[in-house]
Amino acid sequence: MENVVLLKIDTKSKILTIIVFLFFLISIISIEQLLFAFLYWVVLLVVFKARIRQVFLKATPVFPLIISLGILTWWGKTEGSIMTFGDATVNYSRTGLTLFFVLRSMLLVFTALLIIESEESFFKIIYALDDLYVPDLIINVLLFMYRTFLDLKIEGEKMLNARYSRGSYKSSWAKISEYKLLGYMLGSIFVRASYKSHSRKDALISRMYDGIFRHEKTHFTSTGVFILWVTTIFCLIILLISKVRFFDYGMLSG
Amino acid sequence: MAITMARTNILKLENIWFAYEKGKYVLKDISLSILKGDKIGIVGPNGSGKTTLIKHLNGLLSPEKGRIFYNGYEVKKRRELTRHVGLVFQNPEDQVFFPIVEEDIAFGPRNQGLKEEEVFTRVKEAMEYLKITHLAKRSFFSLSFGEKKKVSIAGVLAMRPEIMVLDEPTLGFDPWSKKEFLEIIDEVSKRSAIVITTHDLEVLDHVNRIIMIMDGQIKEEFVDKKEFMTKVFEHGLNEK
Repeated sequence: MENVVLLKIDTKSKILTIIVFLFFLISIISIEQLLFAFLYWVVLLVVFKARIRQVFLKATPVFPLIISLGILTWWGKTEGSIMTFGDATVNYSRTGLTLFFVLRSMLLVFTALLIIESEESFFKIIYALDDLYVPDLIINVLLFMYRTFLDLKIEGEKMLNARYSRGSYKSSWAKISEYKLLGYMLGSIFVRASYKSHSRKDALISRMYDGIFRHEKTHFTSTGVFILWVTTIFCLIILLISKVRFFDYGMLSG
Repeated sequence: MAITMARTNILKLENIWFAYEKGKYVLKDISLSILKGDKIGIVGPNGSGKTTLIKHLNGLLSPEKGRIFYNGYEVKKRRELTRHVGLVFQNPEDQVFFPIVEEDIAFGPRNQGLKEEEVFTRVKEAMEYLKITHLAKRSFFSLSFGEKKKVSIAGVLAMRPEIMVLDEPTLGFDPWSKKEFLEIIDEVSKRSAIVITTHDLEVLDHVNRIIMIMDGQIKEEFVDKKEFMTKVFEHGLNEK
């Protein structure tokens, strides 16, 4: 079944594709381009075999920030606003600009999360980043951060179990004691995770860890490289076509 | 006339002193030799310094005073010890870093600078040894405690250490898993010297030296469990 292997998209290609696509998203200036970007994002979602529900769930913590940015944009502009792309400009109404910002920010977050949701293990992404010559310091920070989050989650679950096993269920949010308990639990989780980190550091040193995470090299697959090229060409075409169109209609000036 | 072969001295601790806080010594003048083929059981009450001692064997801690020799040469860098002495932690969750079982087992051999083919061979071998091949692709966090323990042992075994140190290895094992584990230890002892800290008397049936630590000092050494039981439980600790 070698064909199956050939069809597989490697992590390195996925990361590069997403970087290209993120640059494209940052560069776009019109709702039309945003629509094309969204359609292509759906293609990537399918090609990367990522689950839409999981991507959406992972993005939820960032939603309040995006909405706040939207509100700030709407609040801050009284007249039609102008965005720039190189020397080019596009006129927007206040609502249009807010909508554009919010939708583009959401697409940026969804795109960044595609890579996480399309890989079985976060470590695979880290290894691919390492193979793409990301500095060891960043690799280490990412790995330890990930492990610490995992510890926090595990310790949190343990504390909740300990609470429920002794008959203490969540009381009303209106009660100040609930917040007090929640604060205590959060503090304890961090303390416990910190102790665990100390033991883990010892465990790493005892297995000869010297600051470099060695791993099996990841390789580009032909399908991965193909997707990367298609994405790059698509992004360039959309940017160029839009630029010409905007000039034609006199929407861009400069 | 019987000819006895002198066993090679692998690791030697000479007058080791160690304190976590200045002046409060946890290890006091400890001297210990670990020979090829040794199966040493370290026993003693809680807080007597067992874990601190084994952390010196692996190079995790450096003595405040005293010297450590490996194969006759004084150890200057802790990493020299880490290469040859493997340490299995009491709690497997403290030891394992990677969420996928085979990834974690490969971590040690990769740090030893081995080629991927050799790493693969060692991981396979360690998993076969501990009968956990079926867990290779599983997430560590979804395993039972006994399985987690085996993974943590496999992670050290794959490094093929000359001395394997295990901190309270049978803690949390059911009787069947314990029996199986002790058989594995007997098997491992054919290639590595074994040092086990334990409160479990059953483990002492599988060692050939028992060292008793109390208050940071080696109180006495016994040749087998029978001698240990007689002296410690029948005559009492303080009467010796």
